[in-house]
Amino acid sequence: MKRRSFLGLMGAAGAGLAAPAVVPATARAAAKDFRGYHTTPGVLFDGTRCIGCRKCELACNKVNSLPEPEVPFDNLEILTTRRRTDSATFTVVNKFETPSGPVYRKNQCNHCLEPACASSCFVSAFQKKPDSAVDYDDTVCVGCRYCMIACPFEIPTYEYHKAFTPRVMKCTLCGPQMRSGELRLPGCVQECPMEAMIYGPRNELLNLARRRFAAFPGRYVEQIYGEHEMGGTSWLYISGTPFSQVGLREDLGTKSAPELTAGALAAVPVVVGVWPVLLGGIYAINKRKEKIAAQEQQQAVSAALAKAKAEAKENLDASLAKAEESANRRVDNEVKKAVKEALAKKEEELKAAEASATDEEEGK
Amino acid sequence: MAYRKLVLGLSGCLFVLVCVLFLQADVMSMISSSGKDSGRADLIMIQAIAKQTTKQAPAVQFLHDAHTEVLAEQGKDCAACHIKDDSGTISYKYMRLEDPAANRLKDLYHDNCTACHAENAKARMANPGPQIGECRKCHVEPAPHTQAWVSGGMDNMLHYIHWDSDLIAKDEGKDTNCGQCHHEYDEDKQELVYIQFAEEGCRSCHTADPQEPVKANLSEAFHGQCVTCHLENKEAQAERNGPLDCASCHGGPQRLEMQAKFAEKLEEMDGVLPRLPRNQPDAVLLAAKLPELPEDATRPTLMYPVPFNHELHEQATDACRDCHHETLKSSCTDCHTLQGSEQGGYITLERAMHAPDSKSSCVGCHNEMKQDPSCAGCHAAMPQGTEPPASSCALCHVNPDILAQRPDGHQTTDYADYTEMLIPAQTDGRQPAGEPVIVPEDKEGRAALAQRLIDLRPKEALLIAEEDIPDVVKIDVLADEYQPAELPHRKIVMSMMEKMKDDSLATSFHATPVTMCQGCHHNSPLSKTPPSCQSCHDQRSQEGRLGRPGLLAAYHIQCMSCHAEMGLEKPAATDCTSCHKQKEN
Repeated sequence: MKRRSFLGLMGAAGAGLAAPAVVPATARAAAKDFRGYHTTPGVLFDGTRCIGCRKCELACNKVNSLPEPEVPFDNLEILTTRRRTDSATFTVVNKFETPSGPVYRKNQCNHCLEPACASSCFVSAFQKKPDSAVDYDDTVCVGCRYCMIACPFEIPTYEYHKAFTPRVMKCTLCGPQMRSGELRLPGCVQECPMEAMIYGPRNELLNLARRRFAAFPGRYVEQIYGEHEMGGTSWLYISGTPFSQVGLREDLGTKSAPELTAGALAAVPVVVGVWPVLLGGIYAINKRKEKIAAQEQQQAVSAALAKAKAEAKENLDASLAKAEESANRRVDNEVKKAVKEALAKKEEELKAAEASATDEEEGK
Repeated sequence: MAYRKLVLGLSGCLFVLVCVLFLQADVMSMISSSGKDSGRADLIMIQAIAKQTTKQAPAVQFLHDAHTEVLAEQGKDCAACHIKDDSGTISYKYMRLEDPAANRLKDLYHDNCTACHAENAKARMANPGPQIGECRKCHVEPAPHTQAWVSGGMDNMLHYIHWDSDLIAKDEGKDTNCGQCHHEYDEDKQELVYIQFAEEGCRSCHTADPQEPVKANLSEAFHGQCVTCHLENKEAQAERNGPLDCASCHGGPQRLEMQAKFAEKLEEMDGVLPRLPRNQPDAVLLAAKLPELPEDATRPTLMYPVPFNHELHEQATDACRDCHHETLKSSCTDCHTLQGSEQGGYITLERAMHAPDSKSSCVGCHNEMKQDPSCAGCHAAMPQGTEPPASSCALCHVNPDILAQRPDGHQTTDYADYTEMLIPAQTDGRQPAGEPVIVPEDKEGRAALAQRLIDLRPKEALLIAEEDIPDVVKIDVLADEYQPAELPHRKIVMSMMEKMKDDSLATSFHATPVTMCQGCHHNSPLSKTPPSCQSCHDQRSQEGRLGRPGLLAAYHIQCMSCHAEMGLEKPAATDCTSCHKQKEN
């Protein structure tokens, strides 16, 4: 499989790009230089307007039917302690003391354009929806909580108190309620008495933010947090104080989590697919080499043995032959000797007989 | 064990590394602890080496005030280290009038510093200062102190204290003492002379890099002039001699303290400083200088000149140079021409007067004034942008005829017709009724016209009849959770009027009786009965009206941001029931 097609599949599966209506073809074609979904909705939070009334927290609690909080929503003392979201609180407002007075900042899921939670989830329990909400599906969630580790904003939280059906909980951008027509705006946005939050197409929000910068020079840090952070988020923030002073991390960079992890994730099929084959092949080749070597050795040994045997036999045969030869020679010699002796005896006898014959003849 | 040697060697290396790191950390902590030094105003770097080609030792950090104090205890003064020139002006430089060659300069410092320190040692002083051979007591690196000083500068009050002072001798045959400081160079006589009513700010000649015949740069001029005089006063045992240390003029906290004292003094004087005796004009007609035109050419259409109340602005600024930033001798239009000139840094007259973010421009300075809490309640909410609103042009560029025709001087329209602020180039349909005003060419005539126009300006803040202002406005369109809010409308208007009563800027610029209403009833035509908030701010969802607040937010943003900007701590923005009474059910 080609790396590009693999990435394409990963993108389609992980980031919920399945809905072609919202994803411009160019966005997918230019995956290497992704500039975000411009026309998808988002929320602009204006830090200079927030008065820290906690009405958004109350609205969120109501809309999502969350349990009653320990500290009631009309207690504003709690703002001074630094809080984060938990499984029963999808949004919190924190108070930050700055040289120019207290500043409030709401915190909730930023609904990243390319969410780290989704890209880290191997069962695709998180999906970026066309209405910008990063949705969670508890029916497939296995509870690994990789999402909690992956999220740079520390947003997903876990229902630790539930033994059998724990879920990962976070702000839903009121996606379910808005899709069902129950709400026209996210609960918090609807309820804010100062319109510190504005819901609308992301590109228009960016324009609006810049218009405010131009209309009120010196009032804002002229930067829109979330425009590029972590590849861009659907929640955007503008502030009169530096973002790091209101608890927004400025060290996140502009690359999205999937972009950061794509390289490593793309290496997975390589590691999983190619490495066993490669290593197995090397192992097999090594094994075969060893086997051949062993065989060759054996052959050599047996050859040597056979050679030695043959040599020994040859030697034996030779010496046997020699011995036989010498024995034969000796026999021959003995025979010859005996023959000689016999011949000599015979001759003597013959001589004697001749002599006697003569004698006889003589004597006759 | 085959590896014993290697293991021993590696552990040795590691040990050394750890030791080095510890030492380093120790050294670093020393630096950071000295970095906490909030900064000294009297720190002088003796950079004799700056003239040397090779660096021989770290530059010496010399703490001037520390030495001044010790010398004072010994009964010595500036003269112990600084010499006077022929005219009796004390030299800004140490023990010399002019800089010798680098090696001679080095010797000069070494010889004179150590000689004094040696004397101290002989006199058995507790801390005589570094002796010969103790090089590293002066030549220290890293530098143990940090420098932090603010610009000295004279503001109006300090200037007044000087020209009002009896300690400073009067000019010959006059009852002013300006000539004791202000001077000119007379080319013919080749000497410094004083010309009355032509006084300049020091900075106009004594720049950082002065051109001949000016000799002293700004530091040398200021220190020579001020310190010499202060020293003479001290020698004469005057009751007040002026500071002889660095921190009194250049120390941040000291400066703030001084300004607080001056503010007190100004209060004692009923907030009004006497005018400078320089024959400056009371009123000026600000008009563009026309470029040279061929004889038969038609004069281009221009804005009406702006009558400028010079007398009033003298009180409102810290120093003359706030506006006359280069020199007092030429007018704004000499450098800032219609097209821009090299002399004026190519800043056109229009920019010089209207740049919204420049402290020297009219609009920029007026914008700063709007940050006063009394004004900020309305003005902070108004988009500032990069340009002043077009409707405000005619407030300054006023047609004298039309202004004079108005019943009680003030404006009655919102200047939708911009032709009112144009001097027509020739007779055509746009020309206002009657003969167009001819702007006089001569200085006196222009000043008189300016004064006449200024006199036509409203003298007090304008407002419609009190009974025409709705008293209490009930806001009940959003009352689902709380009882309707009761807005004490008339009380709010009247208290804001009270705040701007004595403010001539507000009086002049809130040109109609209903201008003030625009603070809240924005974006609607000037009217005694402006449209209700609901006409623009509806209760629909945010969809389709991005950026324009809904009714709920419109009320809240308007009220709360105004209270915040005006520094009204009560009611707290989150105290709902202080405005909306709790519903009983």
